[in-house]
Amino acid sequence: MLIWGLAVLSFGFAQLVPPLSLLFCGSWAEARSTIVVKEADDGSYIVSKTNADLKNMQKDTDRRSRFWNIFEFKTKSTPQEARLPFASSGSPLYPLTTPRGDPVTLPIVYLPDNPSRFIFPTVFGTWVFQGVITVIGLITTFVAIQLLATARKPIELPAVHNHAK
Amino acid sequence: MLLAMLPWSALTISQQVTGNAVVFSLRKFVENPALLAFVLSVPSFVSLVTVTLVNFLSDRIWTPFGRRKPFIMIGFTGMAICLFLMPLMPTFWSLVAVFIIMNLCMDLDSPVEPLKQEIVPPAQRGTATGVMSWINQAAQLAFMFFVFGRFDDVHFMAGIPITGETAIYWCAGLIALSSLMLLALGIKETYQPSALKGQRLSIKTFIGGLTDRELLPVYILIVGAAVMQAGTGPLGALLYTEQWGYTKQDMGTNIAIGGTINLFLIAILTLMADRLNRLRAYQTLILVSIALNIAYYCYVHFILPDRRPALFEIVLFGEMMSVTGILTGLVYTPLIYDYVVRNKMGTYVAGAQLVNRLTNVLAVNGAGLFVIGYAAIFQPPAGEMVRVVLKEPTTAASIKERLVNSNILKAGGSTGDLYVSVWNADGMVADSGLGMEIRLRNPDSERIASEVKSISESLKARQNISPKGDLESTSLKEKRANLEKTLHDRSLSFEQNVKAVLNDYLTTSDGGSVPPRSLEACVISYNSEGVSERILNDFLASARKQFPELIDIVESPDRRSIEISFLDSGDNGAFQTRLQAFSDTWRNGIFRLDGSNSSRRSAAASEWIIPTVEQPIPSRTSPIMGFLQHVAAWFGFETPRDIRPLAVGRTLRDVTTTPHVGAYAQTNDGHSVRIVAVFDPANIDDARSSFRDRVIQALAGQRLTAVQPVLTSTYVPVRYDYMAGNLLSIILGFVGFGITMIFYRLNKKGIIRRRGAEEAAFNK
Repeated sequence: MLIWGLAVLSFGFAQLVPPLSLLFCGSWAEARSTIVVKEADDGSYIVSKTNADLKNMQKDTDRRSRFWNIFEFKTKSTPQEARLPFASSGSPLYPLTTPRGDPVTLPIVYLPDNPSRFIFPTVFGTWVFQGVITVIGLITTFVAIQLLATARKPIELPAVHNHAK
Repeated sequence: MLLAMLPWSALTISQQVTGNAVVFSLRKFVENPALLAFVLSVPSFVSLVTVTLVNFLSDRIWTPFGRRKPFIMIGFTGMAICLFLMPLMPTFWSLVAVFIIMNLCMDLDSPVEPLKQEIVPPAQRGTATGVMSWINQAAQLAFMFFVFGRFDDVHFMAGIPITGETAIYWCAGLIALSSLMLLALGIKETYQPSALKGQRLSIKTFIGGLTDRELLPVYILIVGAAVMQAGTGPLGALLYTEQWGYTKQDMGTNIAIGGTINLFLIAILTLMADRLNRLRAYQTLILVSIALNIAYYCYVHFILPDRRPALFEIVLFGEMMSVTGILTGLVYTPLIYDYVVRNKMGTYVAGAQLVNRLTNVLAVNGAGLFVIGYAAIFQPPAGEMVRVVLKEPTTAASIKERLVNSNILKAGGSTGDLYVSVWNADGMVADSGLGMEIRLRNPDSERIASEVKSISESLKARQNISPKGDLESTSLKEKRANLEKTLHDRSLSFEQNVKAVLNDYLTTSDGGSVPPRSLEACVISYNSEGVSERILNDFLASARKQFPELIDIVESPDRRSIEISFLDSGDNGAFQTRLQAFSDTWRNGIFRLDGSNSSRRSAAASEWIIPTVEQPIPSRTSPIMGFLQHVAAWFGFETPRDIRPLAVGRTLRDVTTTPHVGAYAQTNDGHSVRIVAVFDPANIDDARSSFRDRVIQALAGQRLTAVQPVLTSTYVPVRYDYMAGNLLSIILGFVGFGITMIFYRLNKKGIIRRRGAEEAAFNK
């Protein structure tokens, strides 16, 4: 059980290391949602740059279509485009503007020497599954260590003086 | 105690996944709520046999691994395999098959409950239930807040797409595997002498065991609890997402907020759990739960102007019901086991499951059928639909009367086939209004629409087999096109009939087709860097109240200056001075306009008055949200009332054509929006010609509809009200309470004895 726990923990942690290293070593900026791309099952693309286009694009959409959000952020020298590393099926993860009309912005962390390496640290999808696997591995490892420490002491059920038939 | 709870926690986590995620997995293939509820209840039919048999046998066998463990280990193994397979199923029936097998495996895991109760002494069962509840709450919180909202994500690992749905199921599978290891390696049952051991399984012993004199009365309590717990079942998730328009992430956030609060509450309430008179507390809590359900239904249905609670309101009511539910759970489980001796716990679980499942099957399917029945009687029917706008606010009843008197109904049709209601894009429910939705029930159109849907599904399935298409697909597409044309023609015909009857009532206005008025504007530029858009928008919202001539405030494209536009009044210098003085005091001067670094220029502007069906500033608001906004205003967080017109203005801004746009709610009639736009001089003619269409779209984005005589005409399906499931919950709540009172009387008369508690007291 300990081996299993360590294996799961290692796998989860290996997935967590790249975004974590960017988080601690990268530079922060604000990225603005500029484009939403709808990728159909046959590989064709539709691009939308306004919420009106986006609404039209979402009509007659089935779950096989994928929506990609593209953001723009400014490094010290030039503006950069950053595509959210994961898509959403059925509808986009983020619209282009909020219901109030403000542009949708997200914090982004990027490597100053190589701005094409970036993460969106406040987006759950960046962390959630790697985190869940790591937590499962941690709990399993912890329980395995507990069991090893108290080995050969089974959980005893108290003796029953039963008068049931 | 904690280690013993973990396998049970893993089981409930898997139930979270299957209870919530599987609804949406199945939803990919089926929409009908009754069919959905039926499919989700199918495992209950299987469980009627398996859970009963498994728990019955677990009291009567002994193996080198124990009496409960063999079943649990096989169950967890199967469950893990099924969780890995479920997201990979390509068709509805394969998914249902794996779903049923997985539930079968979860049924094999059911002896984990008597195993847990055997480990924990009666006097500590309240605390153990609290610990269990805390772990469940933490798991539910983590699942709903972090994981569930990721259902629609598509991640890529080494170029292979992995959907959020897949990752959710596979993580649950990992948890099941880890729990399997804990069970296999960490828990050992020690031998328990029992008179039931080795009893042969036959129909006589089976029925005799389940109907044991000691256990029969306890089933009365189970029936009451099962009836009350059925609730809306899986339809609750559809209420949030499809009816109220919240996303899965919103649902997850709502549950997470409540869940975080519950983590603290459970810890506090657990301290009380073993100190209460369990039966009395249980009865009181049932009544409180019923009262809260009634309050919630009445609040949403009769008080909220758009029958759509805000997230805060959902959390508030949800939290009150959750606290009641937590306390009920803390007293109910220990209460039950007070009446059951240790060696019959498996038999009790068998009988209880039978009773529970039977009651559950009836109640869950009842919820789906109730919603359909409620829709058939009270909800807008399926058929042709047309939406019109009237000259002045009118009641739906008077419009219906006019239509009925005009013989618009087909021969043989009744007045019940015609449904007329006030319509607003923002969902506001009212007795009278400008917008009317008129529906004519048409079962034949419903049949055609169903056939269209069936053809579409066949085409999707065929596309998987032959993506380039084939003769059969072409023929199906033609058939579908013909059917859609039939529906379209019927809708048009209905529209013509309605227009002919209501001609005098319909508006003559047409979506702001009145030409715009040209105005003179002025634009001031202030040098400024690094002001957030949020601050600018908040300043605009506040300043507009003091300066009605103000149009807009934007940051320049290079983000080096701020531009403020306003209507030229002839004394622009005075305006600038007053505005600067206002900025010095606004929010303690966090946004100061420095006149020494400014420049002014003239600009051309145009004004449109667009009549709307809805009121841009609603006259009615939710009382709880109104109170909350009042409290927030004390702390300086004001929500502007004209939030929708402000948003329309922001949406219409375009750097190249209309860099400054102001939208205002007209206060004279409450049903129009005034738009003032400053045009870029280089593109003024092109921008003006296309601006009206952009305005209509921007209004629609804020659920404001530009007035025109006929808004739309089409075929529509029946509209379900999933909130009707709450009505059923209230009715069942009263039934459950009545049953509990019967149990109470039997207990008081001494007909029912607390044998479990007596056994524990004897063994002490």
